[in-house]
Amino acid sequence: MEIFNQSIQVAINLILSLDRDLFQILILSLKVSSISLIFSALIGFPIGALLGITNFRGRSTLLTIFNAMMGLPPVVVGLIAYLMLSRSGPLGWMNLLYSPEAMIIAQTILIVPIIIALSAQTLEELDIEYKETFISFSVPKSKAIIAYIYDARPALITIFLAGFGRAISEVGAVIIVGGNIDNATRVMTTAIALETSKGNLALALALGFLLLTLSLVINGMAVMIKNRMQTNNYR
Amino acid sequence: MYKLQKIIFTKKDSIRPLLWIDNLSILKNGLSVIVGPNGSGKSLLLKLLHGLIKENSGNLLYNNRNITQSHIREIAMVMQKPILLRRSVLENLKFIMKLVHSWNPNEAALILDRFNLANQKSTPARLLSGGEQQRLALARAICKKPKVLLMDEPTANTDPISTQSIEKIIVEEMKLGTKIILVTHDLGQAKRLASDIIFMHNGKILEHTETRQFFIEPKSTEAKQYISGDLII
Repeated sequence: MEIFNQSIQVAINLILSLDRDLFQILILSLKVSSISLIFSALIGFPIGALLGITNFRGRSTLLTIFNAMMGLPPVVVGLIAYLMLSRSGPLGWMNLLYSPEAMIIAQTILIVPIIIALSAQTLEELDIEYKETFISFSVPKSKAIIAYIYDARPALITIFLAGFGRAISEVGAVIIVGGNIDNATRVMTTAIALETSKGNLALALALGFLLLTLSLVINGMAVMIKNRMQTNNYR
Repeated sequence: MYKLQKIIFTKKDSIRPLLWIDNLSILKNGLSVIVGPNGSGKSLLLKLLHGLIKENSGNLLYNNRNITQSHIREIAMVMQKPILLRRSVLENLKFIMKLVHSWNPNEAALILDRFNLANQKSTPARLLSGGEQQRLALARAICKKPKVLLMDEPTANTDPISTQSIEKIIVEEMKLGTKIILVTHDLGQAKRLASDIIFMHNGKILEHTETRQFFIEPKSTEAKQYISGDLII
């Protein structure tokens, strides 16, 4: 129990002293996770909508693949991204290995399938529900898609949050492609892994508490937005 | 208005036809009511008339032509369980008004008044009572300014006041020249509203006759049993 009290004290001290290293790690974590989440949303939601609403040959195979990819092991994704970005790899010329950009690529690969699979499922359910009514009112496909996305927005926010949760808590892929370099690619999760391996458990736990708090605050804000949407007409 | 000849409709993976209609003509005027026991194919017939499902064989003519997308625009349907958007009452109306013509808040206010929904305009549509949901579904359908209004048991889950209000609107629309085809289990409602009755059993049309004649002198044994409230096997 002592180590918990000690780590909370360390966390409070780090925050109150506005520790430069800590805030650098915190900001980089948020930056990498947010950018990869935005890229994932830009890629994932349209593909999810396409798979959820339209019917074409191979659709169920693709859905099965994306569903399976939701459980992609981060270290495997990290390894593949490493091979692609390493100097001898096909994308080696981009010189991205051990940079925040490489971490964003790896996290995007991890989050995209989650967003595709979950948004496809949400929009498919809405499509089944609305389909006959929309045919009856001759709603054009483009307007139907906008209506589905608008009416499913609370669920889509939850999916977005699931993506954020995956990104902010991920360690395996970013440590491989980022290298956990101080002042360059060190994020909360890799810092925790490092401090734990050094036996600095109090600091590792302190970072863990901060990560949890950060995650709770962001999720809490999103839940508030979602609840407000639900009371405003969504049922 | 509608002419159906040798229509057969079978669902995928099913051998037995769910609709088997030799000959049916529905006139342009008046209010036609479809009655029959559960599973007789009444709702399927409505969907077929709307163009939501397609017959496997036979001829279905609407104003002497096959049903196309442009015809679907002239036809509106109110489902037994209305599917309302996950939005407010007003937003539901707005979505359809924008789609069929232009959004006009004053016109929307008049429609909500007519359907006695003005006080609930900001209420989430899915929180309305069964009767209010049906009135909103009917309001949306009428926004389409249809030539044909198909209604699948619009008062099945409504209280007497909502039923009266819905029937009043149905009669008003009929007087404005809209052809109404209504499915109901309520024989009292059929007597009150129908100009002609279509009686269905096992996917077939056993009778299509003028309302008075149907209730006084039904031709088929099944119709006699149905009117007297017996179970029809």
